[in-house]
Amino acid sequence: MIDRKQPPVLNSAHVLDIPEPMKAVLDNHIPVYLFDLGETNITKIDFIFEAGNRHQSQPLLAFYTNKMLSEGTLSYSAFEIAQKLDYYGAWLNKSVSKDHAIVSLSVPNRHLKYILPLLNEIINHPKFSDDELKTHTRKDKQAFIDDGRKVNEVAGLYFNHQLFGNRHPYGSLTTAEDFDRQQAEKLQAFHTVKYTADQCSIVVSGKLNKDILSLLNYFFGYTKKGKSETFAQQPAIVCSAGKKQFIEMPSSVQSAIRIGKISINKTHEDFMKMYILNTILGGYFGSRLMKNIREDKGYTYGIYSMILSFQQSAAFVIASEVGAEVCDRAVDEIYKELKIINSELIAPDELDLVKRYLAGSVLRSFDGPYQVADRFKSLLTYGLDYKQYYTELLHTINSITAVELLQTSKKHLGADTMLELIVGKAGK
Amino acid sequence: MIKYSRYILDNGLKVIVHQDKSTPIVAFNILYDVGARDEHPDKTGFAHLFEHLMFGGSKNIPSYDTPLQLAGGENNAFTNNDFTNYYLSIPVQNIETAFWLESDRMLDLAFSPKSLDVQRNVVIEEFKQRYLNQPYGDFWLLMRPHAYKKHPYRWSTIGKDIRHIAGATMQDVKAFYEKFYNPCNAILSIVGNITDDEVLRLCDKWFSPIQKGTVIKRNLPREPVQTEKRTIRVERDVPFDMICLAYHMGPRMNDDYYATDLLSDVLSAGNSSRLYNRLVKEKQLFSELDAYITGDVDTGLFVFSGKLMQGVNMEVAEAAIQEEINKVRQKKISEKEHKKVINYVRSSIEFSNISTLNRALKLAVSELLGDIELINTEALKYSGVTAADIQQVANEVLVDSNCSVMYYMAAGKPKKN
Repeated sequence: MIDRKQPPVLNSAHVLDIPEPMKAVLDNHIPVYLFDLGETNITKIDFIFEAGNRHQSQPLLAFYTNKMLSEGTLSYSAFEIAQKLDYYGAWLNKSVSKDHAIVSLSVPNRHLKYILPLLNEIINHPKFSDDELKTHTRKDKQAFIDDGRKVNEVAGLYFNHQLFGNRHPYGSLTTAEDFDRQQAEKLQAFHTVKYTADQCSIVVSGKLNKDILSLLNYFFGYTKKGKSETFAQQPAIVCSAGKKQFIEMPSSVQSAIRIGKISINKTHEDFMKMYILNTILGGYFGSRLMKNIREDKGYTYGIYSMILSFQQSAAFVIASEVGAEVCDRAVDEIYKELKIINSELIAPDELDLVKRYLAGSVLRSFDGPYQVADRFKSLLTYGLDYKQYYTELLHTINSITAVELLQTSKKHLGADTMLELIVGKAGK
Repeated sequence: MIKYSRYILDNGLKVIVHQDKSTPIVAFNILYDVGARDEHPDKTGFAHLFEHLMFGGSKNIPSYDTPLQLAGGENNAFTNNDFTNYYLSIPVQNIETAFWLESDRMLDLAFSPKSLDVQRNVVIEEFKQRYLNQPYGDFWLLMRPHAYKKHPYRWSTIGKDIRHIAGATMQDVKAFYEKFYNPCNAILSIVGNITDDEVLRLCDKWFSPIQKGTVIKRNLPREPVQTEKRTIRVERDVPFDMICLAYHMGPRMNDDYYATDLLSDVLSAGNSSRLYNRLVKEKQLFSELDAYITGDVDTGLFVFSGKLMQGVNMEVAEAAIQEEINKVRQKKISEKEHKKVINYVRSSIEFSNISTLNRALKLAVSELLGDIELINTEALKYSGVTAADIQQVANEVLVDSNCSVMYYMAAGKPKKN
């Protein structure tokens, strides 16, 4: 009979192999990073432009410029583009973050050569039309209004505003009327200035065709550098709103909670320590917040904390949706956990657990060519060397002490420095 | 080609191994052949509640999550109407931890009253978060009993009523476990850099000692053939009107499943699809509109669901969908459109096979369906569907007498005609 109470012997995590990309430069100096890995015959190409929300002069401009790239170009209508993409089984994803605009294409290798000419049109020769734009803004506006009924969506939107203030583009509030204000002309202008060779990087991953680089150079290496316009100094981050805010949505059966503050980004010397600390507090299923507020009290389906790193700043945020009637108690428990992590050394068992969990988690996050490319991209825009970064992160995970974590907590997570937002039903 | 081996242990546990040497992580998937369709009509939501309790500690291991995290692993689970699936990923050198944890909770659970208390609350909060506190969130809670009259697909996995969850007793929980959580009712699939021999050795050590359990013969009420169109109208405090049309279709293992799925792709997959271009973009009747199949093991649904643009009349919206249905019934799709949907689906299959966890799940589901080779033949089955097949299923499935309609109206806005 086996002794089932006795756990199998654990081995320390596999040594992580961090592959370096092959680096190249197109004729117009666009840097290209190639990860030729794995056996999957799918090529993924990511174009990263310095064209996120931070760079826009009015709300949604960056979003719609990016979204409308594939809704009509010099040679193709929106429908023709969609037809070609679907016909060749190619997936085009576009997205905009606070700092960047991404155009990402995944395509079976056998169809790559048919799709690249189209991708060139989409990225370099979009033709923005008011008709197409209006079709999208009208339906998106309805989705935005629907979102306005979701406590979690409202909390996300307004907490950003509470953190960064309305003057800084990180904190600006989008309203339903902003959808009506979009103009094709402005999109075209934004594209001309921001989607240029000198503000672009390309990351390619998968089992790559031999001629990939010459194809990329042919289709994307000919454009000009652009105006290289230096944007006016961004306004300062000023938290204009109160420390504690409440937005009433009377018919809610759950309330959304946000507790957090402006924090440090990936370039900060304490970031890795914060990353580990955040994991302990609310970054995984075994975290303190999850254990207390879900697994002990049953107040919520889930509670998490996270560090959102941006180019110019960062936010630390605790987020949850909890039963309206237990909201006050859940908030009290969150502050209790913050006080504990600010004042007590983490016990050896818990620290050991988190270290092992994180080592596995880093290993998992490098599983396969597309994931490797994602890790690389997440650091590229900060000018950080990803191999060095992850090597150091693994080292930090291994070597960090409870004392260092307590110091980090005192420095960056003081309970009395947090802002708070509740969206939902008013308490008694 | 995905190469795999298939074994059945003496206690009935089915084991599938697919060696993938390219990854340091193993995907470990256990599927139990029990879903919301196996619940008693007065105790719905149970399969899903039970999934939560599976994390509350087992006979010899007080916590499931902690040892897994110590081994650098991560896990999750989901329940649907057909089955309950538990999956984890773990560095290959610690694979034995997965065998130890999963075999112990198959052997016996701790059944702690505290865990039942807390997870009841957690599931109630999940019910609120997903179904009650979202605009349109109760849509499927209403649509299921409208479309199904006899078959247990008439309730959602979360349950018919929050009170069924609140009322779950320890006795209910134990009976459910004893009935369904046995080796003969489970499929284990493993994808990673591990050999058959190693898997079999670990299975022999950890799973083989578990008692087989009783094989359950499923005997579910059949859904009677619908003979006339059914329509209901509800009003809710939401910003915009919504419409849903649901048609019964054949079970998952019917030959025309693939043609039916491609029919939904013709209508709604990708930005070049018919509904998106004609009704969302050209006519601007909908802010969003989808057609999809539920893909259930038993007779499923072919669903159209759309949110209306402000000011669009419900009858106009329904007529526009009907017009697209008529077109696809009357005229065969062109060769080019046919080629497009097949390429689209082939590509989707390739993309979804990238993830080892996905491959492990697909292997287990194929085995559940009774044909593990589906993992490799699926793409061919789609390629073999002709334009005429698609037209034929459109004429069989998308007929009025087979349709359940729901008008989900935004309350308190002025009526327009």
